This record gives sequence, structure tokens and C-alpha cells, in this order.
Amino acid sequence: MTGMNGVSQVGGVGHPASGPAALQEERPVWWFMGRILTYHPLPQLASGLCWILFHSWPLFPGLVAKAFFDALEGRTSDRLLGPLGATGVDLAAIVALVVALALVRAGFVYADVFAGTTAGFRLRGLLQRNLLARIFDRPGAAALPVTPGEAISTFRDDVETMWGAGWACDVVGFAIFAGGGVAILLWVDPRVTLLVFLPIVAVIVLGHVVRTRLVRLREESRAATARVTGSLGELFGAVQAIQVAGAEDRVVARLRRLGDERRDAMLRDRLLGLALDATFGNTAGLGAGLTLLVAARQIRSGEFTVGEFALFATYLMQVAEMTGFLSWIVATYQQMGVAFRRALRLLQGAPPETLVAHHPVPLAGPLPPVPSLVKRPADRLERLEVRGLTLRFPQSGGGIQDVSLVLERGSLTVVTGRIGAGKSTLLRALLGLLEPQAGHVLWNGLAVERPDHFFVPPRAAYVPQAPALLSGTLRENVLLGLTPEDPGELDARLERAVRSAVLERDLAGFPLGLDMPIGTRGVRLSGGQVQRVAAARALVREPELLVVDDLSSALDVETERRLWQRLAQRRGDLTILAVSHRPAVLQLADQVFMLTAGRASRRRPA
Amino acid sequence: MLTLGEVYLVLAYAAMLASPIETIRTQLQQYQHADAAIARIRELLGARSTLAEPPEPVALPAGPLSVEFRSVTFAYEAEPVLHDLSFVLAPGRTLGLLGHTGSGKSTCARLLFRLYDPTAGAVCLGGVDLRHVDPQALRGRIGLVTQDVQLFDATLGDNVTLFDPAVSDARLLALLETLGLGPWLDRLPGGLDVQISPGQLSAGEAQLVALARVFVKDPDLVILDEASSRLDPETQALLERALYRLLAGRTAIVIAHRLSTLERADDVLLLRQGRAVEYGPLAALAADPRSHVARLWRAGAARQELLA
Repeated sequence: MTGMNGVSQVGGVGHPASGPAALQEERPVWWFMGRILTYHPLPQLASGLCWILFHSWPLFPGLVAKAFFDALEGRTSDRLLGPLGATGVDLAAIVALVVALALVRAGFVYADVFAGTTAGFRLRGLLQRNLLARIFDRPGAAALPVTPGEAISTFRDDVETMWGAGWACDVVGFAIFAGGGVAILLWVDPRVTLLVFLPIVAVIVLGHVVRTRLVRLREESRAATARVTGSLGELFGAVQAIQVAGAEDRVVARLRRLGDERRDAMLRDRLLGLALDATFGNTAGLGAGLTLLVAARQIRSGEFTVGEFALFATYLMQVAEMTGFLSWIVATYQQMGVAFRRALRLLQGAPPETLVAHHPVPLAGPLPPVPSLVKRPADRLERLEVRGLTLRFPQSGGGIQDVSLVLERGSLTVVTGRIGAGKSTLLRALLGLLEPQAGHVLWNGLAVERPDHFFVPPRAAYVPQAPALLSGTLRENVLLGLTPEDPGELDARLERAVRSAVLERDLAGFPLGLDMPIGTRGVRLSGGQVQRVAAARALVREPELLVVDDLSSALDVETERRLWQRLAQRRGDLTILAVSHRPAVLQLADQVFMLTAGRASRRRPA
Repeated sequence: MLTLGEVYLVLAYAAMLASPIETIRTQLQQYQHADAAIARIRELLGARSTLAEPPEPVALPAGPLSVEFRSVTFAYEAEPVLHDLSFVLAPGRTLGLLGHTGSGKSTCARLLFRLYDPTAGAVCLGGVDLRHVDPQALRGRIGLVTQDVQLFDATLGDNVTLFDPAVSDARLLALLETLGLGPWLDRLPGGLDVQISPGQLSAGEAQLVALARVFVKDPDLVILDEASSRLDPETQALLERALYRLLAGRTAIVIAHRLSTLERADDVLLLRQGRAVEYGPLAALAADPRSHVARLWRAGAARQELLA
């Protein structure tokens, strides 16, 4: 791979900016489960084995109980455990065996803590990693197709549902128990046995009948939860705006209303789940009672021994428990379908495989190093050309229409225009932060195919209109994990960036300098300082192309003049595209474009 | 001796005990979680604001409020941001606050809103020290617009009124019309009921929403902190004409860099590194050829530009 990946020679024919989204291939839930379970096969297998043994284990206590009662009754000729009875084993030994079997069963749960928990955390990490990777892969200004609340809900709740796929092993354990149990019971008494498994058939039928309702209720409860999460996020982010407007009570009332809606949705969701559990559990219990009545009559007639009765009774209790569990699985399978669909929506058209693709997830040890920024000769910008760029927002009718412009190396180009004329949209479409409907961008005459991947440092850096700073120190905010090729060069680079962004005087006023914590999302900085920190963040990457949106809106004239003079001094190796209304910037510009209702016209040089 | 039936009974009961015991174990675990959560919530509830609430709050006088800084010194941490700052602004007048970035302009706004208390000196509204005023009542009287606008995932109407159903659509439309936002509103499909998702409005449009928001509550003191910095010059000029109409009958403090924003101000205060450099009526300062303000005024007029 060369540094020019993402770029290809322009052909003679038309060049679509983005193709239609690939047809979504539907995948069943079990397919996702398979991919999830094969991520770390060994721990998963160990964990699965634990649960398979756990669920099939009750086969043994039943047999032991039978031997126990047969021994009590004084029968020694047993059809199944003959040898045990024949040796005349004392009752104490049988009791000890029951206790031992219970302890071993508990041991499986304990063993799973080691095998299953790590595997589970890895799976959760993998799912969240894949979701996040896709979000970062999308054009930045259209990364989330849903509200942040919805996205958080998928990251937290849906992932929680998805990584519980391990219950597939429970099903296997259940099947082994059922298979073994049926075989043993059939051998003891075929007619009574058939009665035992009637409730399970009822469960499966009923589960199928309520499926649609189950899915709908789960979707509603998730959506309601997402609205509460989103509202809370907004509330915490806007405490000042709420205080300023004196709207505390109203905002809390809104949150309460959303909370009430969520409670209703959750109650309906839970109620159905619990009602199913109760129905299934009791159906199984009634079935068990019926079976016992039939069996009891046969004891009287002598066809049944007390030991065999105990065997039936033990298995029936397990069957009742497992029938309840089966109903849980039927419901969970449907709910997992909801979780996968919601996660796929977040993937926005990426193939479903993306969600469960296997990637390393480092849970322990040092984090993998961040690749350093290397500028290759091919990254040098000579000429940037925008041809016929068009992006219309269908809802508002705003956007840009057929915009073309050329930026020569070392030039300063200013785009100006009224509010809503499409200035920011132009910058974002150019940088691939939005997907244009037509047109393309050429870097040194080569068409850029994935602008969102291509226009990144060290080729391009972007300072948005309302820059986002993170909580942390100034240095962390400027570097954002940057590691240059030569680490010794870092300080010199930082110093240059700080000077170009006219931050040196502010820094001198901070006792800790660059190591000053700037508070939550930069709350301790003034509006002008936030803008200049964002500018330093872009400049420290020493980009070929610098794109700035209304950089000096919060700066006083003096600081603004100095900032643009210093930027202009770097024009030898820096090409600048700026949105601005300010005369100081317009005066420095080599060319000025005016945007009017999305169309660009060149004002200078005319 | 036990009968066979009794032995069975004991075994069956023993087996049935397993499930309630498991439930108790789960509940105990949940209890521990709840206990830890309650401890964290208590910690949050135990946090006390450093701004003491007055035991006997003094009511602010009705109508436009006078603003007074009495030898105010303020430091966020060790280094003071404001040094011994004093000025008096009469009720109903508009003050233009000037100064470099980081000179303490926004800090003045925050002190007036009592987001902080001064380290020394006093900030008074209508002659009452803010420390003696009920904070809720205080915030009900002040409208503050900052450069940082926070929008909600809700309708445009709800974003302007902040979910106040008591504000009628007619009043809201009239207000937006007065602010010169009628044409902009007409372009939006759905008008007031259009759902605004974050990122859908441009930064300039978001500022217009924030401006409209402040006048919904009819404040007696309006503080505009760089409230129109992200607008293009034409929109800004339009808005400012409307703004001064809305500011009539209220006291106002306008923090800005641009000359045009301050043309209609009554008084001007020039700050440099947290100290007052010049203060007085704009007309008088502009007429005094030796004043900083006049020099900035001349420079600005010559370059058709901005003030510092």
C-alpha cells in the first residue's frame, strides 16, 4: 500500500460519488450466535461444557434416589442399579453420594466463573469494538443514524443481550438431560413417560404464538429506554442552559414523562416475560402432578416400585424447572433478534458480518501502540480541485449545488456567505464528513475515492465551527495521542503549533502551562481560547491542507489579526481553505468565493 | 422410625429448598449492589454548593435593574481574573463590554448570574448584594446568552421555550418575527413543530434559537456574551436592529468585538487583563480624541471593522 490509497486516476467516464447501499442480506439469529461463540472457541467450549454438565447432571441424583428407596424398601434386584443394591450398600453411603453429586454440580458453576466470565467480557468488547469501528468509518458528520441516546442504549443494553449467546450450551445440556431422562423413564414405564413431556410441547407452541408480541414489546421498551438515556445525556450537557432559562422544573417534568413511558413499556415487556415463565412453570408442574397420580395408582397395583416413583418425581421436578428455562430461551431468542436488528441499524448498511467479525480485543496488558504520523512524498499537495460538488438536504432544501473551485499550493481561499448558505456543508462534503450526491474532489489531479479516509492528517486537518474539546490537559487536547515519526521532534512541533495558533500568551498565564487541566470539555477556557486550542490541534499535525470554519468568531481584532498573519506566514507549506466573514481574513485571501443558496460564485480575483 | 413416605417427604422438601436459597443468594447480591449505589448517591446529595443560600432573601426591586460592581476581585484558582473592578450601570441602560480574549468579560457575566461569588468585593443588582438574593429569583430576572449553545432533541418550539407549554405559539411566532427570524422560520418545513436533531441547525441558526430563548422569559437584565458572533454580517445587522428594540425597558450588557454591535450602547467599559481601562458614556468617550475607545472607534471605522 502506498500513501495514495483511496486515490485513483480519473477515468474518462462519470464518477459516482457514492454507490447505492449494498443489498442487506438477512441473517438468522443463530448465525450470529455461531459467529459469537467461535470467537474464542477454547474458553467458550470450556464454559459450554460446564453448563452442559450442569444441566445434564440431575440425571444422576434421580438414579441415586431410586437406589436409595429401593434399598429402603429392601429390594435388591434392581433393573438399573442392580449392583449397587445387590452389594447392600448402607443408606449413609447413598446420602453421601447425593451430597457429593450436588457439590460437583455446584463445582461446574464455579469453574464457569473462570472460563465463561473472561470469554463473556471479550465478546462484549468485540461487539462494542465492531460497532465503534463502523461508526468511526462513517462520514463524520453523519456517523450516527440515530440519536446518541439510541446509540448508547445499543452499546449497553443490546450488547448485553447479544453476548449472552452462551445459553446455546444450556440448550445442549437441557437436550442431553431430556434425552437421557426420556430414555430411562421410557425404559421404566413408557405410558407414564409420555405424560411428562406433554407440557414441553405446550411451551413451544405457546412461545410461537406470542412471538410477535414479544418482539414488539421488546422493541418498544428499548426505544423508551433510549429516549430516557438521550434525554439524560442532553440534560447533563446543558445544565447551564437550563439554569439560565430557569427551566429546571420543566426539564425534570419532561424526564419524568419519558421515565413514565419507559416504565410502562418495561412493565409490559417484563409482564409478558414473567407471565410466560409462570404459565410454563405451572403447566409443567400440573403435568408433573398428573403424572405422579397415574404413577401412584400403578404403585398400588405393584407395577411400580417406590424407587421408580422417586425417580419419576425427581426428574419431573427438573423437567418443570427446565420447561420454565425453555420458555426463557424462546423469549430470549426473539429478544436477541431485536438486539441484532438494532445493532445492524447502527452499522448503516455494512454487511451483517461486520458486527461479529473476529478482531483482537486487548483486555489485559499494555494497549497496542498508536501508529505514528508519517508524511510521504506522495502526500504533498500541489493542487486541490473541487468539481461539481452537490449535496442537498431533502428535509430543509438547504445544501450546496454544483460547487467547483481550485486551490493552488500555498494559497488562502475564503468562502463567505449568509447564514444557511451552505458554507459549512461545503467544507464537510469536501472532507467526506458528509456524502455528496454528485461531484468529486481531485488531489494533484487524482480523484479521491474515500475522502473521509483520505482527508486526514498529515494530508488535511479540519477546525470545525464549534470545536469539541475533551476533559483533560491542554497538551492532551492538542496532541490527541499524536506520535510523530521522530518522538524527539514533538516539543518543537508543539511549540510551532502553539505559536501559530497565538496561544503563547495564554499559556504564559497558566501556571501549569500545557499541562493545565481545562475542565469538563474545556469549560475553563474562554470561547476564543477553545478555538485557538482547536487550531493548535490541527496545526501540530503539520497538514498540507488546513480547512477552518469560522475560526476567529470568538477572537478580538488584535488576536485575530495576529493569528491570520501567522497562518499566512506558513503558506509556503500550508494550503488554507477557510469560511469567514471577517474583513481581516478576506483582505489576506488569494481568492474569495461567495455562496448564495448553495451556489458558489468567485468574487476575488473576479 | 420414619415411614417410607416420610423419608420421601424429607427428600422432596430438601430438593425444593434449593430454589428459595438460590433466590436469597441473588437478592443478597443485589442488596450489596444497592448498598454501594446508595452510598454514591448520598455522596452526590451531600455535596454542598459553595454559594451559600441567604437565610432571609431580599427581594429585587421591580422593573429594569441597576448593575453595580463594588471593588470586585475574582480568581477561579490562584491567579485573579478580575482586579478591584468597580462600575455602576443605571437601570434601563445598555453597556458595551470590550476587551481582548481572556480579559475577564465572560467572568463578569458569570458573576452577575451568580455562577460564582467574588473573591473580594460585591456584585449588586438593583442595589442588593447578590449573596442576599434567592438564586432562583435572581435567575428568573436575568437572561444570559452565551456563545456556547445547547440544543435539545425536540421541536423548535420546545427548544425556544425549553418545554414551557404555557407560552402560546402566537407569542412565540411574534417574538421570532420581531427578531427578524420570520423568513428563516418560513423556510423550515413544519415551522415551530419541526423536530430539531443536534447537528441539524448551523451554528449561526443555533445562536438565533438561543437568542429567542432568552426573551421568552421577559428578563429585566439581559447579558449577551458574544451572542451573535457566528452570524454573517447581514444577518447580524438585521438581528441587532431587532435586538435593541427588545432591549428597550431593560438593562443590558453586550459583550462583543464588533463596532456595529456597540453603536447603540449607552455606556462602554473597556477591560484589560481584568482591570477597567476606561468607563463612561459612549458618546463622551467617542468625543474625547485621547480615549482608547475613540481610537478604536476611528480605527474600526477606517477599516470598516471590529473593535477590541
